[in-house]
Amino acid sequence: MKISIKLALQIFVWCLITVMSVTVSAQHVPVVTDDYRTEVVASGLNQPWAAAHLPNGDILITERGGTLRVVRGGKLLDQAVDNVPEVYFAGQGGLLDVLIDADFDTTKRIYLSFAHGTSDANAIRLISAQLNPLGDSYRLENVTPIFTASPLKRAPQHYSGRIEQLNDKTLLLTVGDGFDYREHAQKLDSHLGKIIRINRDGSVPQDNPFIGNEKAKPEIWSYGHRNHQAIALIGDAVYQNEHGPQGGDEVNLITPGTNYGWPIATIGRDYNGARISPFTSYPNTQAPLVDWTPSIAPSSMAFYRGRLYVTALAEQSIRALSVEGDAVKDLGKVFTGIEGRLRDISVGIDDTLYVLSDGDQAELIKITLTLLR
Amino acid sequence: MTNFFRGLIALLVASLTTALLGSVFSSQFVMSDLISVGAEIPFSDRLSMTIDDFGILPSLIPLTLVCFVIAFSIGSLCIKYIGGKRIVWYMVAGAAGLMATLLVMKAVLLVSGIAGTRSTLGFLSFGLAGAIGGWVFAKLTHSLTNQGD
Repeated sequence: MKISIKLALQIFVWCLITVMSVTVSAQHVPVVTDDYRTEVVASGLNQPWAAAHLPNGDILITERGGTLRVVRGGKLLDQAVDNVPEVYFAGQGGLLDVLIDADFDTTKRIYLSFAHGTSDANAIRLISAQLNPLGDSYRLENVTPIFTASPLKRAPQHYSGRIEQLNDKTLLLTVGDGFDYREHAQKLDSHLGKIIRINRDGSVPQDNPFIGNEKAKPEIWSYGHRNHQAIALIGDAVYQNEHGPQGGDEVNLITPGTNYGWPIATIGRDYNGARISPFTSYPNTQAPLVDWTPSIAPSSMAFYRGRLYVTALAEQSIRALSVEGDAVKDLGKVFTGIEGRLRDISVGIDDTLYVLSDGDQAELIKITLTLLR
Repeated sequence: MTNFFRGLIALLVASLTTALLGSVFSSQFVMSDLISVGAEIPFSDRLSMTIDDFGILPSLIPLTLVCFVIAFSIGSLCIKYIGGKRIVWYMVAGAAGLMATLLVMKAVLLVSGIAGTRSTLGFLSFGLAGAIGGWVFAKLTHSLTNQGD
């Protein structure tokens, strides 16, 4: 075989230059100039994921390593909540969300989501437990697993794990696509890449959208999701956000039985630059209300004084969104004095916002909004 | 032109060939997975995505290059001390080297770095791309050695 070395070199350099022609565009993000003040309520938190506010003012904070911390009267208690189940702490896994039952005053119940299993076989699990006082802190009793996603997967990525309670008291849980299992998001015989809905005892509500479909998991409420780490209720409307890969972060209005497209329809690309799919939209899949490309990595979401607030990890910001039904508009960054990767945002019983930063020296920051512009 | 420079050119062309094939194979396996969950992909969309996916070449070519430097060095040692057909050794080295690289990437990242290699067939297709790269290298360096293919 003979080949001209010069020609081979020319072909090689030409190809290299062609594929390396990357367009870089700068994006201007507006800033919402609300007046506010901040206060660090707790510091030294180790990889917190979520905060939940008890009726007595105590704040429960999950740490991914498997501890459930308590903030009382502006102080982080040394004694964590006792008897938290063992979690699989690796990658994006660990102890994730905490939710206070809507009837906590009578049931004393909370819900926890966490990664469960081993490196070769793991899944997101949801438990229900009673939160009883123990010394200065609390202890979990009557711990009951009420949902474990199936199939089990390898690798500790894309659990999602956000819990929400609808007004009919049923529970929603976001179940991530497991990263390497992304096509499962379109398979109704798999929980991966879904929002599931169950009763508080783990049974399946009989008005779930795929009840009667023998090939479908009965817990499925919506599908075609990737790594959805936030749900917010506005009245009866369920808003959700999810991480795209490289671009394609989304805010969606969730309706039962709807297909949100992943991975057949997405604006995002794979991390190495490859396409996920030929399609950015596809018949019978719901397009997002908001798309963030490039990614901001939305982590959590809270509805407060007429706006949706979204914390972002990659962008290290909080975004404010106006909401009117399915008309959701990104207003831009807000509370710009708060910097760093932000993991969670919630509304306290004192009607102020609380934000958790990310990392192994994280803080709980209280935001008091003094003027909404 | 020195033998060293000719060898370098052969290495670059082999890496480019393998990376291009790997990109094409990966695109086909990704789309095959989408079809398995109900997507309908017309030929024009398949072609468009396959070409668009060449965007991974800036990362895939250097990765393949580093892999081949190691793999073909081991291959040349095998030829020298064990003997046998050099084209076979370089094809084996290319295939084994690329598949080993994918395994190392997965061990480090915990997930597949190239989506098209998640399935066994997709993984083996990269072995094929590596073997073809080895074949190209052996052919382009044939005149630099006295040994037969």
